[in-house]
Amino acid sequence: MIRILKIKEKYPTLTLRATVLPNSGEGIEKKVPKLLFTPSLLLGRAGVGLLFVILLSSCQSADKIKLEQYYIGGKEIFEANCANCHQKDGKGLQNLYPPIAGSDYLQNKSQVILAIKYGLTGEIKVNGKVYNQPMPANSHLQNLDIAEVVTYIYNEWGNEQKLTTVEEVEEVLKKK
Amino acid sequence: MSACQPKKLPIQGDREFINGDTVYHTIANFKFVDQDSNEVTNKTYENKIYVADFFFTTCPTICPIMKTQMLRIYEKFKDNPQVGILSHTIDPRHDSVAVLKAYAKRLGVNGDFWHFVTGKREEIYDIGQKSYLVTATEDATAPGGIMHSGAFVLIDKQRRIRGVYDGTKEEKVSLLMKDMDVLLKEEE
Repeated sequence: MIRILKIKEKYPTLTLRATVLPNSGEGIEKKVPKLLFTPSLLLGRAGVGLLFVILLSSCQSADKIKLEQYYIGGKEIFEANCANCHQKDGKGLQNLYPPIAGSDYLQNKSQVILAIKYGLTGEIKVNGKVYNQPMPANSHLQNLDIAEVVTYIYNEWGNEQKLTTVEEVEEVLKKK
Repeated sequence: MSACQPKKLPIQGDREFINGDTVYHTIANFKFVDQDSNEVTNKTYENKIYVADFFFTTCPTICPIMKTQMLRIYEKFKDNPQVGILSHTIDPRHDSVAVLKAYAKRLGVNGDFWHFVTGKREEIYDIGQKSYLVTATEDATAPGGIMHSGAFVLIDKQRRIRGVYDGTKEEKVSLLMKDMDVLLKEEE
């Protein structure tokens, strides 16, 4: 809730939607039929069709809203914790800090999640180039924060259009 | 009015009046060693204006952003023999000459325009606090163990402080670069 309020301050238009619709999407299914039941009776078959279309699209948009929530939250986390070195555009800094955008390091998401949580020391290779600058652990980031920032990274620079869930993060961190 | 007169930067720091003359705050004598094992002293910056800052190579917080910004200054002025940069490490135990050399190289910095210097810890902290008037102290609670300011300090050819800028803010560094142009004209 605090998160939502925080985002609300920043993005008043977005949160209006986000607060009305709970994450699970259950709220929509309950609300939408109530709103449309009478018109759909009046409109007959066309109305049912319309209802179906609206239901379908609202389910999609519930997922989309969750993705947006993660993306926006993740962007904020990225800019506060990662962008100093990796830069806002994810391109890194010279040969000192490796890029995230266009980086082959993204191919292994578990390794990315672990690096965010526990940091890195020693040499790593990114796109064939060797980097050797310690990355600090981000032990203050909760699993949800990591899920959000990973979602942001992969949607922005990793050719993904989907969530990285909290469960996925938990799974990776449990194995360590 | 002001359009007719060339702009001048203020002279900063305490000043004294001795026998009717104004004596300004200046940078004390120093002697450090840079990434190429060369000695760096006030003489290195004779007839130059320069930008000084304090950092350490493993700093996870503001240094990377300071270095990103300092690179803009490097790119703009690196061919101007009247300009230089002086970055002091405040973690000399870790930041040896070899570490600074590797750091500079990875940052893409060549030549002797930008000196990354190390030296005795007390001397570095001392000159930071007393000459450049910036904060730099060890602090176990700060990320990386050292608390320091992100200031870029602009020094003129008479070793006087002519401006202090937040090196973590792009727009402040843009202002610094404009002020450097003003200072260069003033000193011509």
